[in-house]
Formats: sequence, C-alpha cells, structure tokens
Amino acid sequence: MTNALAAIRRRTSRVPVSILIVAVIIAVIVAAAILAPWIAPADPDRQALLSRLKPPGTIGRGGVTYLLGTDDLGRDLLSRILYGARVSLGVALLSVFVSTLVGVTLGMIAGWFRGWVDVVVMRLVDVMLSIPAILLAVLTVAVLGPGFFKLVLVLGLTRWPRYTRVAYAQTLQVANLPFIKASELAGAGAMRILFRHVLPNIAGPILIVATSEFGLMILFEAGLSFLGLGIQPPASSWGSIMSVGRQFVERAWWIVAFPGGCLVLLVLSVNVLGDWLRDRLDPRSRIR
Amino acid sequence: MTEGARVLEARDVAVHFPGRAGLFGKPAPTVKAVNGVDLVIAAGETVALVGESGCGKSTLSNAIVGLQPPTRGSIRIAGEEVNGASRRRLRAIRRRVQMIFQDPALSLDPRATVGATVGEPLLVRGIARGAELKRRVAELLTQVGLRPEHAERYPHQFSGGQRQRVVITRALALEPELVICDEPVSALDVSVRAQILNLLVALQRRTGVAYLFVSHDLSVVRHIADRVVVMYLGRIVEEAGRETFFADPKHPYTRALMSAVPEADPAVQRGKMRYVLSGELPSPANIPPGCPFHTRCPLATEICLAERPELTPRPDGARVACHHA
Repeated sequence: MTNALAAIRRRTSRVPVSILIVAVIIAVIVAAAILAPWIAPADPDRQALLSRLKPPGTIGRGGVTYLLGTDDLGRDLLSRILYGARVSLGVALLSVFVSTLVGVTLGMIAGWFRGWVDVVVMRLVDVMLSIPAILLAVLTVAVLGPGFFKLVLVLGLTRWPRYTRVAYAQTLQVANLPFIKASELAGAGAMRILFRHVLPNIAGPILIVATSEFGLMILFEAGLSFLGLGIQPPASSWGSIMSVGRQFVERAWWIVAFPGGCLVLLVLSVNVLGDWLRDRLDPRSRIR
Repeated sequence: MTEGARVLEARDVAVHFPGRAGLFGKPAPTVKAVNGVDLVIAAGETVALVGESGCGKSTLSNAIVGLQPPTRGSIRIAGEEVNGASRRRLRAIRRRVQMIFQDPALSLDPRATVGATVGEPLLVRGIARGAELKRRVAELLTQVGLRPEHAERYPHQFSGGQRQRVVITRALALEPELVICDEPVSALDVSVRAQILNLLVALQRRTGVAYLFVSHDLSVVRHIADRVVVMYLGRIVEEAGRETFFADPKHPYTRALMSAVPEADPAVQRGKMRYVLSGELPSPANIPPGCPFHTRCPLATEICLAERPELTPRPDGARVACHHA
C-alpha cells in the first residue's frame, strides 16, 4: 500500500500535495454524484415519519442504519445528499458554462470593436448589474416556470455581466499590445485575433471569476429552491436540504451541517484548483 | 530614382487627434501629432527617422502601415493608396509593408509558440500550411540565426536579442518591400544591439527590403541609414544623405541633437561646440506659431515668430526648414 502510494507520488511530483488533495475531494464528490443511484443506502424520497430527526448513526426500524441521520420527514440524509449533489453540481456547472460563453464573447467583442457595440453591450451590463440578481431570477422563473434546465438558463443568463466586465477590461488592455498589432499586420481577421491571441491571454482572470461564480451558483440554486422556484420537492439539492433543515437547526444540527460541509469543501476545493490552474496555464510560470 | 522604385511615397500626411469634450468644461484642443509630412523611400533604401519622444515618429509609422488613419494626405505603398483603403485592400497592401516594434517582449504573444507566431502571416494568407508551413518556418528561423527546433518554444524561453530575431522573422515572412523598424534596438542590451543591426543589414542585402528606421539614437542611425530625416513637432525640419547629415548638420535642432552625442575622443569632446536646448518640447496640442522650433532656438529672430520656414533644398542636397541655417 505504501509502495503504491509512493509510486503515484513519484508520477505526480510536479503537482503540490495540496492540489492533489483538492483534486481528490472534487473527484470523490463528482463520482458520488454520478454514482448516487448505486451507492445510496436508501431511497432518498422514502419517508418514515416515526424516524424523524434521528441523529447520525441511529439504527432505525428494520435494521436500517442512518449514517448521517434523518430529516424532518424521516428520509435518509446521506441518500438525499448524494442525490442532491447531482442537482447542485449540474446546475452550477452548466450555468457557469452558459454565463462564461455569453459573457466572455460579449466582453471581447465590445472591447475589440469599441464604438456603438461597446456602448450597447456595456450599458446593458450596467443595467443587468443594477437589478438585484435574485429578483431577476425570481421574475424569470415566474414567467418560465421552475425546472432543472430552466434554472440553468435563468442563472446562466443573469450572471454573464461579471464575465463581460472582466473580459472587456482585459481585452482593452491586450488589444493595445504590439503583438496584437503584429497579428493584424500579418493579415489575421478579427475572429482569429480574438480567439487565438486575446482569449488565451485573458483566460486567467476569467478562470478566477468562473471558479468563484461556481460556488455562488450552488448558493443561488439553494436560494431559489428555498423560495420554491428551483428544484421542486421531493427532489433534493444541497440548497433545498439546508433550507428545510434551517427550521430544525436547534434540534437536528446534522441536516444543515452535512450538506453545508460538503458545499464548503467543494467550493473551497474548486477555488484552490482554479487558482492553481490559472498559474499553470500561464506558460511563463511553467517550470521545466 | 524611378517612379516604380518608390516603395513609399507620402504626401502632406497629417494625423490629428481631436480633443474630446469633458463632461463639464470646454473641449480639449486638437493634438496635431503629424502635421504635413512628405516622405519618399526608394526600394532597398534605409531611411532613418529621428526626433524626440512626442515628435510624431510613432504616429507617422502607424499611419504608414494603416493602423492609424491619417487626417489628410496620401500614403502610397508601392503605388497603392493606404489612406481610405478598404479593409480588404489594406490587408493586401500589408503584404508589402510590415513593422518591427520596440519591445520584443511585448511584440510576441506569450501564449503562442514561436513557430505559430512566425507562421501566422503565411497561414492566414493561405501561402503555406501543415508540413509545408513547418518547413518554411524552419527555413525562416535559420535565416535569422535561430534553430528550427526553436519553433516549439515559447517567447519567455528566449533572451531579448533572440526575441527580436523572432520578431524580425515574422516581419520578413511575407517578403515585404518596406519594413518600419520602430526603435528596434532601444529595448535591447548594448551588447546585442550591434548583432541585431548587422542582421537587419544582412537581411536587406539578401532581400532588397527598404527600412524606415525610427530612432532617437544617432550612433545607431549613423551605422545603418542611407538618409536621415529629422522630425520636430509633427514636421520634417531637415532631410539629408547620411554623409552630408553627419558632416554638416544645418538646422539648429539637428545640431543640438548632434552635440548631445558624446565623442569617443576626449580632445574632440572638449573642443566640441555645445548646443543646449532650453525649455521643454511644446505640446503638440498647442504648437507655437511661426517656426515651431522658435521657442527653444538659439538663433530665433522676429521672422521666426511670424513665418513658418518651408523645407528648402540646399546646394549639397540637404533640405532644411529654417530661416537662418
């Protein structure tokens, strides 16, 4: 066992230990989410009203062990967290993807072409940022109705302005550098310059925004689910589990603590990994 | 000089930047960076463009390659008009005129390999691709004293001199007729300056390219130029062949520039007449009336305040804009 570990360590000697740990945490959470139907000890929706709010480790009727306890309806918390991870991760990943795509494209175009495109896009950003995001999300859900993909769409299409601001400012900076002028003189078109030269050089700050947004997206999804506008019960997400558990926090701390702990661990890991990736993606800092 | 041999013919070029009005207050005055410049460069010739920072050298260079549209005037590259050219025409013209920038660290995309950078002009113009592109890039790199395997590396893995070699390679990849060198050695260590200058000269012999060599370093200019043009506040004030220029500088501004260059021989240095300019370079947003140089000129008289001297030819072939020289 020690030998096997040492062998793995030798192969990954360029990666710091902290990053390995963080990567393992993310891998475990992602694997748990994917494998939920096979590894969950119980049906996450089966209620057992006689076993309500049981603490972690309780052995229930019929010999079932509630490893992380039960919630207010006697449902197995571990199973609910495992299934909830699918929703939380799915919504966060997809909405970050949508908003990055929309935000970065608009930001680069505004920063490159300037003129009226700049004015239109950046004023739209100002308007979007001046409306409280949660209000906008509530209004959109109210029109579209709740659901997984609608949630992704709502979050993706309300959170892009942050990416646009970063991409815009970075593009303005990079666009004036001589190597961009040289590309123009070489005969490269706007699309080639933007995607081959500007985008790789602004990817670092955008990655940072995306990783911090990832955590926020999980929390937003939680908030919307709490308001009844997100995932509809009995389906669970980490956010909805915590929202329900909030009422019982004095009697049953575990309902909030375990999904909350998972959330903190995941968001922290993603941020640390994002930070490291940004440095790593920069060829100047690559050690050879 | 025959008509067909002119790679650059600029007539009365001006670049003005209109001042933008503030939210309150009155609009800022127009900055006249380049203010009526005539410049002709023959094929295979090296013309040095000299002047202080802020005299319009870089703006003029940008206008010539079409990065900065001129306010008025005509710029012809090998007979093709740049001013007012469509995007498409401009792209075609740029095959014949390229640029080398001052700071090689900023002239190369840090995220692109040297091979990708050098090959880009060939790739985007559909001249070469795949294995053929790789071969051409290797050939180009060898020409400037780099090795073919350098194509796989990133700019940060090279020294300043090597990076400038890469920049030169990219500029020459399309076999242009004119290359604008915007202070190509001023960001480099003194020890590698001569190497880069010699490389530029060697490449010129081989390909017959013409250079517009923008610099404020007269010792570099002496080494490389066939002809020297001096700019002051957006206008040409003196223009002469290299020998004439260095043997007999005429405009008081040129003499001041010359006297600032230290001589190797201490005896010569001590005996040298010193022209020290008083005052700062006036703002190009507020150019003095009459001769623009009169505010700092030791020879200035009343006529200089009233009338701007035109560039007039002298017996030895030089052209000077001064009432007294």
